[in-house]
Amino acid sequence: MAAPDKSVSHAWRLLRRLILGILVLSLLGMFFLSRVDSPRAERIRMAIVDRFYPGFDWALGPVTAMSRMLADFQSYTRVYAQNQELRGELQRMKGWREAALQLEQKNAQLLALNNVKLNPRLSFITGEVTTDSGGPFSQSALVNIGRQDGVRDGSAAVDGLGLVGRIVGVGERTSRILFVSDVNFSVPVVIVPSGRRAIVQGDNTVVPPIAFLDSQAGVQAGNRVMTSGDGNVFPADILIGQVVIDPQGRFRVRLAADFENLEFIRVLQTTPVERIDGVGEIVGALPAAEPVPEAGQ
Amino acid sequence: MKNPPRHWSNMLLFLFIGLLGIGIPMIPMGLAANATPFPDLLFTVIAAWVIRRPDSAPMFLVVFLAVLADALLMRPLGLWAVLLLLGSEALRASQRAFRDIPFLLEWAYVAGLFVVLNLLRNLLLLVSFSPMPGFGVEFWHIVRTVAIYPLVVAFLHWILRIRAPRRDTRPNRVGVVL
Repeated sequence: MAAPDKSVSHAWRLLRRLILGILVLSLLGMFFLSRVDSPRAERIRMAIVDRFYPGFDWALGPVTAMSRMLADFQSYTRVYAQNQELRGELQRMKGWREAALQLEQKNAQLLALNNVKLNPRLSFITGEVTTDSGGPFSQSALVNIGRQDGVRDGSAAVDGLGLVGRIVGVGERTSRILFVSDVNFSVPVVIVPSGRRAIVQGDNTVVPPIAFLDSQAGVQAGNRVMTSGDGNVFPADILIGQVVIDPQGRFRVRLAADFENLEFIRVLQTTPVERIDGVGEIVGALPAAEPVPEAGQ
Repeated sequence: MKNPPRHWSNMLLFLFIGLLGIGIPMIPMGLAANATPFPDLLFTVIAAWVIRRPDSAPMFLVVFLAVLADALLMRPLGLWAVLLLLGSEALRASQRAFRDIPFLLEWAYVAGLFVVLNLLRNLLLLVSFSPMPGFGVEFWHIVRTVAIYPLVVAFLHWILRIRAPRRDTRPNRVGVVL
């Protein structure tokens, strides 16, 4: 032990250093590749997640269940106050339910009267949030539904109340949701009732700011913020939240989705809007398609 | 290297604890943006283990865990992995220095290393035009990670009995597994 074999040790150390260098270079390469070609990097990531995630799920399932039970147990201690609160809420809800039913009937009558064709309804798949991103630098989560279940890249994800985020990576059995609050998230919105258009950009807080507001006229705290459907990224009219005004006087959105108790998520499946390219048959062929008569004369 | 089965079981244990270090922060509690994020458990596990038993925390396992963590925790692929690898190698290289120093010094060293790695990460993010985390977020992340380091060390020391070998049983570098 006192005098290690110098030559073997030396060769070994060189080889080790070489391997270390190769590993460092390839990892750096992986990082810069993911900056250059992020869809491919995302596919690599989802392949790794698909491969290794089920093991984690199996191991972490009991821990997750236990921590949820613990959280639920804590809520027992204030069950009375909660009960009172729910009673009050229920009373208000009954009133709203009545109003909704009446409006629905009225709406159906008016639609029938006008013979309106509405957009095809959205269908959705429900999945369970299985892990969060764990770090302070990104706001995202994994859900246990993937390509096999019909999830597509870019679909909107909502909980019962409002927009949660967007699918940014799809594996066979898992997919990744980027939350509305993430810095990389932005979505075109419309503010009702004033109809102002803007873009909501996440900034890693619970109240993301409203940017590029076309005019502040008529925008007030408490107005509802919905997706506008511009750019065909999201379907229109998904609730995002309510306008609030921060101390600096800027508009922000208080998100409607309940991120504190996010457990199940719906991924919306929309049929893409058909594009109408050509003109109708009755008008005839396009003028540009006709031979140009005066070219040589 | 006197006891190969022990050595292999230690490597398996390292892999398992490392996987735990990736898995625990992923438990979906507190998904809101203002929820307290988890400290970097994997870094503390790797640092504590490499200082104590460098031969049962080989380079390829460190790389495997680091890349897996990057993929599962939605971080830029390969970025934190390369820094974790370099950090663990730095600790391995200065392994002799850790033999007889008090724990407080080791703690300070690991904390300094974590800060340096974070600065390097910011530098790499800067040169690749990626969005950078805010200063406050990062500061508290570092504080939390440094704060849990003694807990991880205590867990390794008393519960798993991962301790630095005594002078006379110190392994030769010849047989160190890659």
